[in-house]
Amino acid sequence: MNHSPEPVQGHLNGQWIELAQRKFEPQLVRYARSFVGRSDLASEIVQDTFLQLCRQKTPAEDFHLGAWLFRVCRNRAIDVQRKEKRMQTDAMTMLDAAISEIPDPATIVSDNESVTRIEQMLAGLSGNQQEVVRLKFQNGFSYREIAEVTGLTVSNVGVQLHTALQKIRERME
Amino acid sequence: MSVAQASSLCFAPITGWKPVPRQTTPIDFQKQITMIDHNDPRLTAYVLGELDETERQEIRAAIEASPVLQLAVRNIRETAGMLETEFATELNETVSARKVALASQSELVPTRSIAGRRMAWIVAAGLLVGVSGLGLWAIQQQARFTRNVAIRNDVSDWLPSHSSQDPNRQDNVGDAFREFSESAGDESLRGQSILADHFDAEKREPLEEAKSQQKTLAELNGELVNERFENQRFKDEISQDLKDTAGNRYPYQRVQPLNEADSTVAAPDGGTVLARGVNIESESMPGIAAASLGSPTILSKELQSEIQLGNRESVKGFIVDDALTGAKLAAMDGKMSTNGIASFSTRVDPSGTREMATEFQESLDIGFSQNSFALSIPENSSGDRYDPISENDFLRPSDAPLSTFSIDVDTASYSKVRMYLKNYRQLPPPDAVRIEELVNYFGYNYEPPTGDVPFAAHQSVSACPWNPQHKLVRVAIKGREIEQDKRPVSNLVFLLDVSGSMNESNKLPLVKRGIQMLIDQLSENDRVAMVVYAGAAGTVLDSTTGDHKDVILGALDRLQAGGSTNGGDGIRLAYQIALDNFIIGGVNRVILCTDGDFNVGTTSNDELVGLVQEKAKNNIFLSVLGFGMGNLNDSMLEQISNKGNGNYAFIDTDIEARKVLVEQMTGTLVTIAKDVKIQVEFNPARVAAYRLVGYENRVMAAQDFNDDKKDAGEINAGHTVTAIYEVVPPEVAGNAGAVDDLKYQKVPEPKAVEDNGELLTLKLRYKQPEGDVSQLLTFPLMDSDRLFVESDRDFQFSAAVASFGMLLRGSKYAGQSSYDSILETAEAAAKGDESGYRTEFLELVRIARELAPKK
Repeated sequence: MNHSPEPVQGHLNGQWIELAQRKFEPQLVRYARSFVGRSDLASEIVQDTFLQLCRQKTPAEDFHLGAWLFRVCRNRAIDVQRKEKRMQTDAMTMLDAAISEIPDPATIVSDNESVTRIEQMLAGLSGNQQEVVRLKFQNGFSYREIAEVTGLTVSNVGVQLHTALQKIRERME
Repeated sequence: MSVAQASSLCFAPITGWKPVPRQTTPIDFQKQITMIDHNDPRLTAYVLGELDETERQEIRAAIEASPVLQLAVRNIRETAGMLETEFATELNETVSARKVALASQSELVPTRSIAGRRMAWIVAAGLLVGVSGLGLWAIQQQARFTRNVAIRNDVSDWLPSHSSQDPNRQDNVGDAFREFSESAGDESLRGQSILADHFDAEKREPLEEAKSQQKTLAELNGELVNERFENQRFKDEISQDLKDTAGNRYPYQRVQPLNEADSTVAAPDGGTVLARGVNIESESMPGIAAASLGSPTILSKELQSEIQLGNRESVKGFIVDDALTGAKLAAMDGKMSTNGIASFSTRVDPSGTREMATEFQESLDIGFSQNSFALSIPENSSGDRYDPISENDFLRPSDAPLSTFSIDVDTASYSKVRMYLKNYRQLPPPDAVRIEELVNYFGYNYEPPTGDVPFAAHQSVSACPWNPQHKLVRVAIKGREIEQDKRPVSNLVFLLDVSGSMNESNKLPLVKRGIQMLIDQLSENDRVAMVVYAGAAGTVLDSTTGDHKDVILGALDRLQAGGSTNGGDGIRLAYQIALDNFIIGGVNRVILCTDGDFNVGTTSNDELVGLVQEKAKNNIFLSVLGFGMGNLNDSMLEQISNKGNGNYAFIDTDIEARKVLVEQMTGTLVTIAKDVKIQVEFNPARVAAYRLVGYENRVMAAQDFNDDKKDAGEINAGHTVTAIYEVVPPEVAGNAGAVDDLKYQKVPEPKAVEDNGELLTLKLRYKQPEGDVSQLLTFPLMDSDRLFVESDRDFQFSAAVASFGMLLRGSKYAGQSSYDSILETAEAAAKGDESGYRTEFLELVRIARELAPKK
């Protein structure tokens, strides 16, 4: 059968997105949560991330889904994190919010979430270290992929990870 | 903002998985051990498999030399393992926590969804009124979806005015509408994207909770302004895509303007509307589809199926009367689009809808396996090519004392026959039936060898079931078995055809599942790489060790079909990676998965065969796995697998994928001897004529047997190879002559024939997998007057299979073969068959019996 010479095809078909979602969504939510601290916000960030993915038209040749998702998610989470901080400094905004918003049951549930064991374990680490540990051991990313997501260099990722593991070990002993 | 722009903003180029230059220089183990301390980050990198080969060896040497480092590495391993476990636990906890959260949230859903429905419907109505003759795809998408939405809604909800009745949503909806009504008409496309954005707004609400509603809307409006600027370009892109679609990329698709009939959407009868309204499969612009569909808290499984059904109806004109059939039909050519649905499930109700989507997917999968083949025969089977087979004739030992052939362990023909019979309910084309492949599809309980030889030979003789005056000789070889844990490490490079034609349920998805099964078996010492080829070839997974299953599976997940086939570059790349990661003493193999041939590019078949042959000399072997129907170049695939010291299997089901890739992994992958040739010398005192059943394209000239330059088949660990001869004893020789007696020569009396009771002598030549010089084994076979029923069960079964093959081929040598007699023999021989393969054979015989022309 002869195919038409048509090399490029939209990379997004439903099955693909669904697979991506099934695979990455829970991890992304945890990851986003490690930035913003709240599950509901984290879910929203992840929704946005997948929406971005839907809007992707033609991927670069070396499109790497996992790293891409985490990077978009990370950027979005950092945006939200900043906004949240800004808002906390504005007492009036907070007051308004308190008056106008009837708490959503979901929020109540998520606010009551206890700090997970892993979060306790990571508590003594720097932000970067927490992040590389999460990307490595939650998502199985390679150093190179972690570098892609975080913008650190590959060798820096290696150093951070090594130090993080040592610290975790020390805390346990 | 156009899609293209959006992607360039959020998506700076990522330097992804380019092949890392491999260290090809041999590693010097005697090198001085590098001194490192426990703070060296390379220790962690070592544990996590992040080092290249040279560094890995270096660090390993250092660790072996230092107890301190050994402790450090042990600690890192432990900590890493613990972290992995903890993260996995955390993930599970998250999922259950979110379920609770969503359950408590559910009471809020109805209000939202009604608002959404109503708005979607109103906008849809507006869109349809304003649609221009261009029939933009995106609008149709939107319209189709919202129509469904509307149909599900109570008709009384429909309010053909530009205002919302829902006080809670008035701001949003009102704004949406203002935007929309401005943009209706020829700019309705923008309305559609605005709509999408407002749905976004709805979704984003919790995120913006702490802010004022006003601000959210202001931000959105900002986005909308951008949207408007980019609108024209966006539209152009879509038109272009439509043109592409209308071209021969998707032969089934037709682009039609949304016509008058479509506008009469108000009909509350969903089925009717769908049947008329939906023109285009949504595949061409999936990104948009996903982003544009409305507020689907109300998506039901039924509704999703209807969307599919709508697709299908318009495309192929099938009459479909229920949702499930619709889904199956949609699944048929593997191009079904769950896009909208899939992406929606994210946005709306992360637990509920997603589960539903999964369920739906499952129903589609059922569709794949049960209906797809049966429904798609007529247009699919035509393109397959088979070389004609001319059957071996009876030969006289005086004319040709030696029968020489190469062994064949391929099984593709059996899978193809099965597919024709079971799925297509057709008798296979005679040339698709290679009897030796049918016979060798089954495992036989031959004794494995003892001692150093790589295989044992088993011969036996009995009366021939389809011609009781004749005798049947079975020549069998059993390869040495290798236990799974002693299996040599493997370096596998999958070469995957991802051309457009692979985009069918029985092709790429099956390839993926098969590879997944194989990967489960691999250990940290094994390596897997993946190369794809379509319009262009590229590495999707650089050689990765078997313990990084996530990475491998991730690469597998990302695969998808599209483009044309250019196998030439891909195969070169695959061999290169195999060579770069060559494991001495291991299994080095390229595994080609394709539905066709290498049909684009400058590579001629001869060149390709030459390439494969050359690489085989470097001890990189090739396995060819054929998938699907339509353009399978059977003879080409068989040819290159033969030249490449490989095997060729055809995979039509998950079970077959498991058989080939998992059960036979030891067999398929570990070659224990290569260039295995069989030569049989018949004793004229006992044999008047003989005929080799099958192996037509494996027959060799007698002198090639001793010629080590002549390539022949491989035998793999645990494999059995069976060949069958039909032998005419001298006392019934009258009717067996292949040619008339010679006129000028007297047929020489068999001079001084020694009748020592031997019927024949079997000679085997083989080379060690990496050797160049062949070795010879000889085994005589004593004649016997055993009846067929006295022969062992395996013998009987293989004879039944051969007989079946002859019937399917319409062979003139089939004698008294009949489906009934085959069944009788095979049923007895299939007793206690745990694998299920023999039982399946019985089924095939029964189907063939029904299909066969009645005499």
